Amino acid sequence: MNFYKRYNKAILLIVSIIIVIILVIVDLINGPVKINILEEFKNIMNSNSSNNYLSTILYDIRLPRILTAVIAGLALSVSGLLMQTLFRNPLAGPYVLGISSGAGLGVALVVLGFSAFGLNFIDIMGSGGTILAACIGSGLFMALIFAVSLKIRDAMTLLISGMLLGSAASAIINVFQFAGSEQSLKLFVIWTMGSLGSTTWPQLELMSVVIFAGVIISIFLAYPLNVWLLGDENAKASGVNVTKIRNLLLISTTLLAGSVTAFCGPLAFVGIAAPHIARMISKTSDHRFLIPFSGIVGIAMLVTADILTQLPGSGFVLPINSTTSLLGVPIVLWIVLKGKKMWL
Amino acid sequence: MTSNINTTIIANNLVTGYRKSGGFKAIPNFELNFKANEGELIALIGSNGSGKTTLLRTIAGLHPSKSGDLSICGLSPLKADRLEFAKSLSIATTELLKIAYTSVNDFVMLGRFPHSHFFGKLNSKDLQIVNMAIEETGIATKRNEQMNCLSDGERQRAIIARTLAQDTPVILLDEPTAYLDIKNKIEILNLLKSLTSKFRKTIIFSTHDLASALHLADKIWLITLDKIICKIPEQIIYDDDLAKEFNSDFMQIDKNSGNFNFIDKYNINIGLSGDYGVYNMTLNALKRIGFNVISNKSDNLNVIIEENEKLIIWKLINFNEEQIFNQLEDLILHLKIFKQK
Repeated sequence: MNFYKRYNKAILLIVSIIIVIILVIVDLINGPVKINILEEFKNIMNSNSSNNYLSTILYDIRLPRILTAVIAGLALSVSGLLMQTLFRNPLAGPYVLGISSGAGLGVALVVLGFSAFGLNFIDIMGSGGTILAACIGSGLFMALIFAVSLKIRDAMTLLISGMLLGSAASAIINVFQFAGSEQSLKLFVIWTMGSLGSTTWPQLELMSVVIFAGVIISIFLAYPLNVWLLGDENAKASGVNVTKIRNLLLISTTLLAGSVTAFCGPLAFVGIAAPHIARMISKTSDHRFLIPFSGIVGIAMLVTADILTQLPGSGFVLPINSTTSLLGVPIVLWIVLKGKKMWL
Repeated sequence: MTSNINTTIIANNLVTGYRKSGGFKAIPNFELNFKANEGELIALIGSNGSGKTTLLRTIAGLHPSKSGDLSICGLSPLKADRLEFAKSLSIATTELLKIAYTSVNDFVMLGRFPHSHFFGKLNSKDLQIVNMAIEETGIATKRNEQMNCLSDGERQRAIIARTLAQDTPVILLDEPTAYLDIKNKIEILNLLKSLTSKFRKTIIFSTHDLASALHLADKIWLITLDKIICKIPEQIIYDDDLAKEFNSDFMQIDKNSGNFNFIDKYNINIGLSGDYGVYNMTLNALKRIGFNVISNKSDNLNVIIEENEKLIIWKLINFNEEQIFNQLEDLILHLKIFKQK
């Protein structure tokens, strides 16, 4: 029986990875310009036509964008899963709990705040600074929400608290927007819209490193998290070092959600919805399987959202946030409607 | 005589409780001294708010004690390494388990956490213990079902199976029989009893169900206002300890049988005569709605059971008025309204 079960899970992983690969290829082909990707990849490998505009589109526009979608989808989904477990609350996620707003506040502080003093932030700190600011902002909000969650056990109240925190963050951001220079304001507004396509190769490298660190931490947490679901007291009595796990969880989610938000802006609903899809499909709450599997589901979801932004045939590109919302909102709605029956 | 029995829990002058604004509130409100041996099923009894849960949590090291000594299998709950301590004591708290997508099997496997390695790969010995725990608690047929699809009784068994899989000499259970029907209640307690004798475990469970605790536990720990009384059930009944704690205007404990007698408040006399096999039923119903039933004729209010054309009827005579009822229910309803007037 056990063997059969493990076998089943392996099939699930393989099938989902194949689906992700297909989605990535579709995303590479899809776009306003038709590209024969096999040929262009050959060209890139042989580097014999580096000034070919088709390989430029592929290598400098589509590939970084899709890789960003892959990394961000993984990070958001894993951080959402970790948050749902941390709060033992099915509605937890980086966006709904206001953690993305915290990252936004951090970014606003450095981008707009610096410009208020006549300094150009990007020149001084580079993108590393944005990541740091976003991580600090999301980390602080995460800790705040967690403190609230210790007092409030009710899922809905926690959600409302997260939204209130989010509004508070927007209020402060508004103040910064008044003070900031026109140029930095434009930078910030574009950032808030969310985008997968503005990451450059060096930024992508930095983002991968941070997210790799976050994912590694989460993998180390996988087994204790299964016991964590039994509640603080039961977990402690089972020998789980509750404080240590909690701190590592906070660090991991902050790295994951913070860095994605820094580079791609606040991407809505991937973090909350993808882990639920993963649970529904696999029918398990074992984090040793769920962490990689929700990661893959998150990738599939964000790549699909990216494909949908460029509907074939139509000339214009939709903002990524609207397609992730279109995919994610029905799932969140379903969780809310299922109400009490929806356990983790 | 008791030389070959190991003591698992020892507490000396233990004080536990909660920090309160401007001081410390000890719950229970005194120094605790107790000990428990292997192979004992101990029922922790006390009225609401007496500190049963606090005491269990303190023994499990989930709640800090203020002073005194506490030793579980030689370990101090607060100082010991949590992972080491989890090999000596397991507890099932009343925390709500909100896990879906977890089978009973996977849930019980979580009990092996303190014994397993980093990623929780279980070896054949672990799996053997998990199987044993599932078999012993009688949920083998449900082992592949999801936890959130179980009935309350089955879930309680799964919870006990998890503590059993943790393989500890001491098991604490906070109200394991709450929300259970009487049949499941007795089955769970019998299960605990068999576990204590079969595996020489010390099991302490808190409960509000005095009757089954007195009947099945090896020892009773009774938290009263000023001390904790640890005795075998018969002794605790004989010494009137329970009576002091639980006797009230409505209930009294019979010193000989350990059963409870409900005290009815009578204020109106009613006479009851006749039988036809329904005398006792009628007597109980009249008592329940607060009449003092006398077997002779009373001065003004009387019920006479008669047979009329092979049907039993109840004749109510109030002074000279006479009314006939075909059903006991109708009579009782009538008398209830009568009493209110």
